[in-house]
Amino acid sequence: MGDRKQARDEEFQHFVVGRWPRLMRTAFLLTGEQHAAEDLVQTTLEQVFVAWRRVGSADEPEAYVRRVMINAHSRRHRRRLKEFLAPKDDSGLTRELADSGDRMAQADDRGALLKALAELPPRQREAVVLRYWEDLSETQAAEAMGCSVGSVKSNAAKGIAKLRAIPGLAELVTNGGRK
Amino acid sequence: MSADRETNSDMTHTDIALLLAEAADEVEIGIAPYQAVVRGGRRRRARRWAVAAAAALVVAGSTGTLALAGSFGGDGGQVAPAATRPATSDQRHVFEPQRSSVARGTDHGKKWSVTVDVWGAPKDIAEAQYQRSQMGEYGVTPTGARVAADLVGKGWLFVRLTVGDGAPSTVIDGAVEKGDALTGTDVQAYSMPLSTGAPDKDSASQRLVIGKVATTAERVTCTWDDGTTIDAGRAAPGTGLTSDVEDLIRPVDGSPSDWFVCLAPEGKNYKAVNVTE
Repeated sequence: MGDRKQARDEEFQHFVVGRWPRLMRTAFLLTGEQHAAEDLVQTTLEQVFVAWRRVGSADEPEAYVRRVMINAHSRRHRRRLKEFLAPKDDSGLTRELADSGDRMAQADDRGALLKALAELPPRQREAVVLRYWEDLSETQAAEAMGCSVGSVKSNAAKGIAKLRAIPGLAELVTNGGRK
Repeated sequence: MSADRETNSDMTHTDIALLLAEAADEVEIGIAPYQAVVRGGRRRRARRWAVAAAAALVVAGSTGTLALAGSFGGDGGQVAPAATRPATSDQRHVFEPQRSSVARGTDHGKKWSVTVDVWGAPKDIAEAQYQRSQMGEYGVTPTGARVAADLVGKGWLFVRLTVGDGAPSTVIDGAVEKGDALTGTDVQAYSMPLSTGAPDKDSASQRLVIGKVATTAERVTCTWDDGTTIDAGRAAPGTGLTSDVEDLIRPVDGSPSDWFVCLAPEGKNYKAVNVTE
């Protein structure tokens, strides 16, 4: 019994350490802010810890983790109508990286996208991130968001349409991610 | 990529994915705070049981301290004596709960009763969504489960108190997950008023105690603030709830822990509860 528990603890530790980078990146796209991302991932993993006995033995623990993270993100947003992720100015999240012309251009690209993402309603942002960053199918995204496939389609389409409507971003996309 | 497969849009998906990947690289990854996650997880596990606002949570154990960590083992392992348990069924009771009567009494001429509904664990989102709507039909809402996905893989238990001709009110609810059964002398108890008389100051006394114990517990002693006690013994196997029955330990269908109820006269308040046998 004790051995099983120890094995489960080790499994969970490997899971946390192994998934942390990927989860941080997803959380960063959802929240747009370093500390908020750390907070979201930690909250998610705490919930996964509680259910690990069941989740760890599941075929695809990632699906559960994604669902928990999206729920946590949605809840947070419901609690706080105005999320703090939107940079107050264009340089907010990218200033430190701008040490050369090329790096500056890349940083501007990222900043523009983060800003554009930040301006999307949370469900649209979640749909865009799950579909285009996590590369989930509409069915998988629907499962993660706890909604219908139609709702994912609609939110992703609206989100992408809004991103396209932003002049700077449309130009980036047209040029393959580079100005 | 799958996004291309399912969405017919002239937006360059690859480019969006590329931009997102670049933006995601902006985050500082740092070291995974494993210990902090485990500490936070333990705290969450301890908070998992939610008590309705009217009920004050009181926890006691004859061992001195009691982990609040979950206490239900779902459908596995420990099986309580089949007192009022229906015949075993393959149904998982996802859309209709198993209902067990735990106590029934008459106080100040007014009837009261405590029942426990246990909903089975939905296997997927679709089942969870339908279960949630069915719970709505029964007038219950799982505390803390804000979306249907929160219900997947776990059962849910509602303790309901009915007084007089009033509608039942949920006094305790919480998730039922496998592998968290109470053992030994562990006990979790919740105290609350039982208002059956004229509304006066005594009617607010915390005199109704509802709790759960391991299926091996034979006797629970409830101690009131004036030092008097009431013992709840185990109901004899096969005993139905045909007349007023209180102060007994009874099995609850769908829960591997057994439940008990103690009621004190008005004016007394709960002080402690222990498994004494």
